[in-house]
Amino acid sequence: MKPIILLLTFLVMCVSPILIPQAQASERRTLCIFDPGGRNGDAFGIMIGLQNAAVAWGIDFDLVPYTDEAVAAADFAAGKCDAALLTGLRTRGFVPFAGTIEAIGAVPSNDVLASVVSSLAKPGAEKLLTNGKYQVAGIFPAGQVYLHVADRSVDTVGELSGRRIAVLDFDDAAKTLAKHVGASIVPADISTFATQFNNGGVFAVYAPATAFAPLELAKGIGKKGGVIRFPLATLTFQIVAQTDRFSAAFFQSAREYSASQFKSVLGIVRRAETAIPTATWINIPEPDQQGYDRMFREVRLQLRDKGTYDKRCLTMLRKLRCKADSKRAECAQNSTGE
Amino acid sequence: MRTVSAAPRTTTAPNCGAFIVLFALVGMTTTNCKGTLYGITGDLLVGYTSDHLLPFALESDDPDRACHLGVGLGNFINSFERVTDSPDKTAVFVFSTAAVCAEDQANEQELRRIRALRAGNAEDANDARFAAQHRHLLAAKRQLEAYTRMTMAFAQDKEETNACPTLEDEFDQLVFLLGNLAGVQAVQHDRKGEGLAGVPMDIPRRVSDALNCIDNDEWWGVPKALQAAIWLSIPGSAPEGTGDPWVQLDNALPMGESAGVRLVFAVDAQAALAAGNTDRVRTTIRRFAELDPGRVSQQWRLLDAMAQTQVRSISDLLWTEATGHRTPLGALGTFWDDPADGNPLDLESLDDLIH
Repeated sequence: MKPIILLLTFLVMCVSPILIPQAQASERRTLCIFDPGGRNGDAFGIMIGLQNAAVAWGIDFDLVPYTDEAVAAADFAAGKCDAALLTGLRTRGFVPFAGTIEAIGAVPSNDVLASVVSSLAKPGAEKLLTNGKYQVAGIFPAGQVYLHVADRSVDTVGELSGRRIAVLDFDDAAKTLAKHVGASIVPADISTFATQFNNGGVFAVYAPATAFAPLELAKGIGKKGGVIRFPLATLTFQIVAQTDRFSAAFFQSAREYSASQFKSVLGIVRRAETAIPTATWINIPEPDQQGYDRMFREVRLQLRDKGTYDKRCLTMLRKLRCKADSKRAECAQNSTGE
Repeated sequence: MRTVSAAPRTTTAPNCGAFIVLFALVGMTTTNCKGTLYGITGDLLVGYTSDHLLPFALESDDPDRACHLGVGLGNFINSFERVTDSPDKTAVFVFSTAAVCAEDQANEQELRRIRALRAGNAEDANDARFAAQHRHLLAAKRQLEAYTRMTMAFAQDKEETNACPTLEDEFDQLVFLLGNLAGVQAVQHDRKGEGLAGVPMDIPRRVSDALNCIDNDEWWGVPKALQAAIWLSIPGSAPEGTGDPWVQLDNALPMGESAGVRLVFAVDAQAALAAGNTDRVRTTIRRFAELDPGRVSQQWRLLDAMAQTQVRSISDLLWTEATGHRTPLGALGTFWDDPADGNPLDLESLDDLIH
């Protein structure tokens, strides 16, 4: 064989795999997705975007919908899911730092949340987002949580004393807040709280604005009630994954992907939030807002001391709040950990 | 009482043409003769559509033809609202069937996305996802219009928001049922399109209440099945004291079978798919495929065929995820991992057999 033919043969054998695009071998992984709407819901749709992106990272996700978050979290804990999309409230049990993002009053606006997500998408954040065998691979906005009340004349926290408030069974933070204001706690779960409110069984419920229309909370609000325009917390969807089932590169790519989708996902949330009529909102005067901020801070500190909230995350959130609005009273204080 | 049934194939009213000419002449003597003619024409065509075209189309087993009828005739029929009473009831059919076209296209794009994922092609997967979202939004808009037209058609009968409208006959009830069904589907498609169609999220709860206004037995179990599907899709939306929605769906399936109109199977399969209950999806699809085609209602054949299209699209989704291709021809009701027919010997027995 002539040398030139040998050379050509060598080139064809060695270079062709580079020149011809090859389907990348993917590793199959299960992503369990909590979405109240199941496969038809917004969260599932957002994860379809992640599924597409993950192909380029060598991961072939099998998306499994769950309409019960407790079951999704249990299956993830049992190792049936390689990763799970859960609300921050549930993520807290796996990665306390990430779950603390939903701390009461800690993220007062979506702008602050955007800063949180982009900060935690930077290389190096894996230290904060890893808790042993679990690591968070992405954070998405899911809307702010507001107090819905049956009587708009009750527009100060002090007036909630003695009133019946539906509190989700697994939400220790909300229980602490309700006790702090002297409210009467009525146990509820995601399938009962709206009915309790709409039937007049409780005076108030807390819920993301996205729940207003689907659960017809307007029925509970009636002609006298309203929605207090002061977020109690900011809800997030978080991807929590088994650390040893993914590469470090995957985690970083996934977090960067989630940060890149922030605006788009927020758009979905905002469109769903527009269902609350303008007249239904109850605006809180500025001095009262400062009072709420102080109260929320006290509750956060209580929950930090109980071990519910992660101290490092609370400090990070305070810094980001102050970066967004340096005039906040807390920004003048030389304190840490709230 | 007006029914949606097979109409006579030939007319026995030879003098109709003369009446039309007479009306036209009378109309032309007025100062607004063109408008009068348009109005007469509109009333005639809208009347013809509901009296003959719809019953005729409902006997067809071709959803594709129905969807193109909706797309093609939609603007023509609906434009008569400019010259005469708004044809809201007819519009419910027009927009509902037009939505089927967009829904089919969205499903095709979703299958393309899955195939792209299997091929490791993220770019193609994204393109397919965006294309599917566009079609979902189109379907959502058409179904929202169908729902809105239904509410407009019966609004005059409502004294209170929660009161049932007066549904005078079978035709009214069918319009009411299909309009409410479209409302639920509009929300589902809009969510898949990131909410850009702006479909109000309280529609499912409203539909859930409205479905109490029609008889479940008469309408093939669809009202109760759809209610159950709504309650499953929105945790906390079921009225107090409601039983297990899955049992309610279980009870609806035989009604669809015995009537030969299996819309409830599409509702059940969709609800199970949304909830991630793949076993139930498979069971429902198998049961759907088992029905003798001869038992399908002739009067409502189109609705059963539309249900079959939806059930097949769910089957195609499962098949494509597992194998890369849709349900093979004639294989609806079977799955790729079904055990082989017969009773094969194991390998050791095979050795015995040949020695």
